[in-house]
Amino acid sequence: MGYMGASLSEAVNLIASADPEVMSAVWTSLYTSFAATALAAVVGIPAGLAVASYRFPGRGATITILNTLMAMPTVVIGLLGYAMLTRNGPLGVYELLYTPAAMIIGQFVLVLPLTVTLSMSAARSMGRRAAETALTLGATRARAAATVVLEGRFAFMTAVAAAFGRAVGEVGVAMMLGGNIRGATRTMTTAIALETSKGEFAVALALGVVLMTLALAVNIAIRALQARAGEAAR
Amino acid sequence: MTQTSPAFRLENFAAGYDGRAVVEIDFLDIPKGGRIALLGANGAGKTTLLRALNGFVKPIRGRVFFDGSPMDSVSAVNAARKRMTYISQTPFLFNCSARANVAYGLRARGVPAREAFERADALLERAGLSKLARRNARSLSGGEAQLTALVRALIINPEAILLDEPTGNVDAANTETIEALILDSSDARGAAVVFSTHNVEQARRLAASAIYIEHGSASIRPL
Repeated sequence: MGYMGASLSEAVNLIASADPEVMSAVWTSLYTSFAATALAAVVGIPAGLAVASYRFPGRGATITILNTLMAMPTVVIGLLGYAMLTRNGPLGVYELLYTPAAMIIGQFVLVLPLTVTLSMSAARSMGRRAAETALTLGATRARAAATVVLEGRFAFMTAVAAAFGRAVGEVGVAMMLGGNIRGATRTMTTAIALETSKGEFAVALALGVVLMTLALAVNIAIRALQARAGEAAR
Repeated sequence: MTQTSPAFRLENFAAGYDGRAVVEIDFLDIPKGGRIALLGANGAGKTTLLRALNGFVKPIRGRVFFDGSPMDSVSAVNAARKRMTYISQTPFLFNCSARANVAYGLRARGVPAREAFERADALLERAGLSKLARRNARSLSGGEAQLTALVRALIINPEAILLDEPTGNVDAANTETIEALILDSSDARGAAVVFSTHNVEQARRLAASAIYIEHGSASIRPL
């Protein structure tokens, strides 16, 4: 208990003094996760809208695959990404392995199914009524889709927040595609794994505290957005 | 609109869900400028018929014509929808001010924002809703929301107005205003009006004839 207390105290000091090692991992985690989430939002929200709005052959299978991909272990996505990006892989020529770009691609693949599925639910809950109303008022299909996104903005933002939470907290993709290189691809989660294995609990705990705070902030944001989305769907 | 063709024509028409016909009509013309009530029990198919006229429900068989043109392709339905309007029993108001809701149809037609909002304010004033113009539409009462939805639909000067129980949950004062707006749209602007109601007195006040839907088949009779 004394050891835990001392580690926690040191962890607080590391955060308060903005320790470069800690800050570097926090920064890498944040910008790779933000980039992956932003890409997933750009692709996933329109895809979710399309799956919710249109009947097409294979729609049921698409939904089943999306649900399966949501439960895919991060380490498996890391493994598949590694196979694609390694020197002998189909995308090896781009030399992306062990770079932040590889981590962004991997996290994008990780959070895309979640973004599509949650966007699909958002579009289903109120999107049909909003779209029909827009169409009865003479809107084009594109304008009606824009109206649905605007009307469901809080629900779509919830999807994005949930995707960011998953991206920032994962370790498998970051470890396998980033390589945990100090100052370059070391994220909070990979640093925690490394520092713990070295017995450096203070650094690991400091990063754990930052990660937990971030998770708490994301969850508070999601709850607030869900409340607004519920209001908007009335 | 061409002078010769009716606003709507239904030929050998059947509509329903999952391949099962809810309402069947051999032949029906709804004239331009005409007002027709839809009467029938709950679940008789009134909403299905209204949604078929608007293109949201695809007929199981037969055809729906709007102003002489068949609504049998996506582009034909889209073109027809730009000239008509449909208000559901519980209208969906966008999460913005009442005036922004009313201006929506004009903005969708490329009317500049300033002009669209001026026209929205003028029509809201005529409907006695000036005080609510800047309130979020989601905070309006049931009657106010129904009236706002009607004003929003009428601002685009539709050639046909489809209303699903327009005064279903509305108080007497708002019912009077809604009925006056419907009559004005039809008399002054020549819009065809098809509305469902359970209130036979209201049907008589607004229309001279009614489509009765009983046991899935429809017949038109004077009121």
